[in-house]
Amino acid sequence: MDDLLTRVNDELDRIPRPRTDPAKVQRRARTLRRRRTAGATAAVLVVVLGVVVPLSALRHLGGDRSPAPASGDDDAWVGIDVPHTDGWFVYRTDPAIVNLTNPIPPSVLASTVSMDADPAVDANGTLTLSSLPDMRSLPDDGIVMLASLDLSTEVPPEPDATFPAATLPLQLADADVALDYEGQQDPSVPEYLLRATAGGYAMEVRTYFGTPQPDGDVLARAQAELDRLIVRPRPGAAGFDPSPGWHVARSDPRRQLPWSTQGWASSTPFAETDLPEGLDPGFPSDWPQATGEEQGPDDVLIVVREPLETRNPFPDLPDFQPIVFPIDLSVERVVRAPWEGQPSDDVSQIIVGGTVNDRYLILQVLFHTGTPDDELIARAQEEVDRLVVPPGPPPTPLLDGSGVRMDLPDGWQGRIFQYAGGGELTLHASTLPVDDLFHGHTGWEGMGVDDVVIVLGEDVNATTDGFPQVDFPLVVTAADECVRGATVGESGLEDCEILDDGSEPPDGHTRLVHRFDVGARSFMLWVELGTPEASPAQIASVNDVLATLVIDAE
Amino acid sequence: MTDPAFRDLYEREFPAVFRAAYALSGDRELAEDAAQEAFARALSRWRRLSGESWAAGWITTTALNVARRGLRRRPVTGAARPDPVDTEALLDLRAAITDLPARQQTAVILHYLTGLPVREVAAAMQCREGTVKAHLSKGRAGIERRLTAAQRQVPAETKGDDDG
Repeated sequence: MDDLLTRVNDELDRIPRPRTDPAKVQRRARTLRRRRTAGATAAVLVVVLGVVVPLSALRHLGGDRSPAPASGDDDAWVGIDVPHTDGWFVYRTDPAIVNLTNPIPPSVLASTVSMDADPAVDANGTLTLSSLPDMRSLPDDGIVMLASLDLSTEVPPEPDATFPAATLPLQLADADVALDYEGQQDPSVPEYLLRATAGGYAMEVRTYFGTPQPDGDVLARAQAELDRLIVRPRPGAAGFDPSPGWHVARSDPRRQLPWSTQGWASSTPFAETDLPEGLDPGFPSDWPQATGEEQGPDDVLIVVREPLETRNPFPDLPDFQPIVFPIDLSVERVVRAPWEGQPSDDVSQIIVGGTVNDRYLILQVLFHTGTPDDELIARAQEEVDRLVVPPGPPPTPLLDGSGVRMDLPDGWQGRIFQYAGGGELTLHASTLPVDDLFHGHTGWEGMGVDDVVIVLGEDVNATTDGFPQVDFPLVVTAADECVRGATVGESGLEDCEILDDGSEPPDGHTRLVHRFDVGARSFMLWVELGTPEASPAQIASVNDVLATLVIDAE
Repeated sequence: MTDPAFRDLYEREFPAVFRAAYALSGDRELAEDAAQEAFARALSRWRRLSGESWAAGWITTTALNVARRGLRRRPVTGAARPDPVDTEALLDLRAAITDLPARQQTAVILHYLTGLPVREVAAAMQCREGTVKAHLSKGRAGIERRLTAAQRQVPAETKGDDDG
């Protein structure tokens, strides 16, 4: 095969240099930016447009009627809030659907106008737009303010020309005032736009007044509300308290990393490549590989990380039981190499998976000897005893996150999750008990003839002009069946795969595959039934479940 | 494109990104479009990617995903337009690669056909080096299986033609 690779590389070297078109790249980038901006401002536009659509289809401004206590703990982490004050009505993003890797911007909406005497609340606890103020009826002294955080940053947000550095409270005097703007319903309602990097976030505040020239009192009232805006840091990552003889690093909760949040502890200094000198230890690399490779037989390296993020609780996962402290690092738990990613041949580890404070964690204690003695294990035990796991956001049974919602029928189990660090969204629902953190089930082959598994995956890297826009309710038909070995496109088997390890589907099942776009978002839907020939009634029952599926266009 | 750093990256890396997409698709037009799209996506989020050592790998991975999707959309009867420099070796390898699961495809192309070291492939694919090595190992095995099967098939088909 090496010869073939050499020949292929030689051929590729002979390909004429491709055309570059920087102007085209720039135009397309501008379009993509606009799409994201449109998503971030959708709630505002709906307020302006005054169309009666489910608010949940926009930005999930949760229906917490005022008063709105400003909780300072992480149990209701939203990231942004404003405490209740007389004369203001406050709505905020439902904490149940806020997620550290969720592209939905957490928002808080404050208005001097009553949003509704009795807000209509749907089954998911979200509001309908009819409960929001109509800009056309905004009185001259009326104020509507919407503040949002951008959680999509994959590195600490650096101030730039669009989101300049600022300190809280933001000042209305710094706002860009627009008397004419996209989506404007009433020409007398101006928009005051503030964008800033502050409090560890890129944030945006849009304020609307009932008159093009709000007087000093109205502006002062708006500024006072802006002064009350609270920004809270993200929940902390698990990690280890500092202690003599140990080096520690922990993901900074204010940042969103392109990999799993994690905590490290090492008996030796971290290697330059893992934690370069001068780099904030809150931004470690994805794995202390070089540190491990430099360690000797008397050293210990400990890593705790979250493999995926979800707000949905899992019942009794065999490999992720609640972790009981202190974690016992007995010699009986030592496992010798080989395993994937091992730093060298003569290594061993103790690995513990489980839940702590509603977080799914994997703890790895690595020894650079195949036979760690009692003294070395005891040393590691002391450090593991210093593990701190801050509470995660509270779990919720609702399948609602990243702009995707679906009701679970009685007897079904499901979850929405993302692999930690910004992985693609996956919705998983089935009649089978969930018993595997990653794949949902360990017993796909054992599906009964009436069992159904639904997996919806977002393809964030797909282009947006290929699959048909979907009409809701989403419907699958027998024509969507993906037959093993059949050619769909040019890689039929890939289309039939349901697990990311590339494993082939079991025999004797029916698999329906449906690709579609919702606005600028692309999705792949797999439906697997435990029978080789699904009846029309079975497919109809699947469609009954899919009828509750709602996806927000980005 | 006002940011000089992005412009430099674009000029420097575009051929490599195109090469990866072309290796997968065998379609020059599709490969160019995929590379352009990937750079546009990078530019649209440049604030986050700027200065990252894995930016080029991220762009290449995105281009592969775009090309992969382009292949799916292409009509089954509309085979890739033959490129003048295409050869049997390239076709064989491409056919074998397209049979691999997506993650193995990406690892194989990034490492073997664009020359990224394993560490950079891992950064681009946001996984550990060990995982990349596993993908490469499985990918090689899959390609060799495919090539071996194809070699067996050729004599059989030739014999059938003779009989006919």
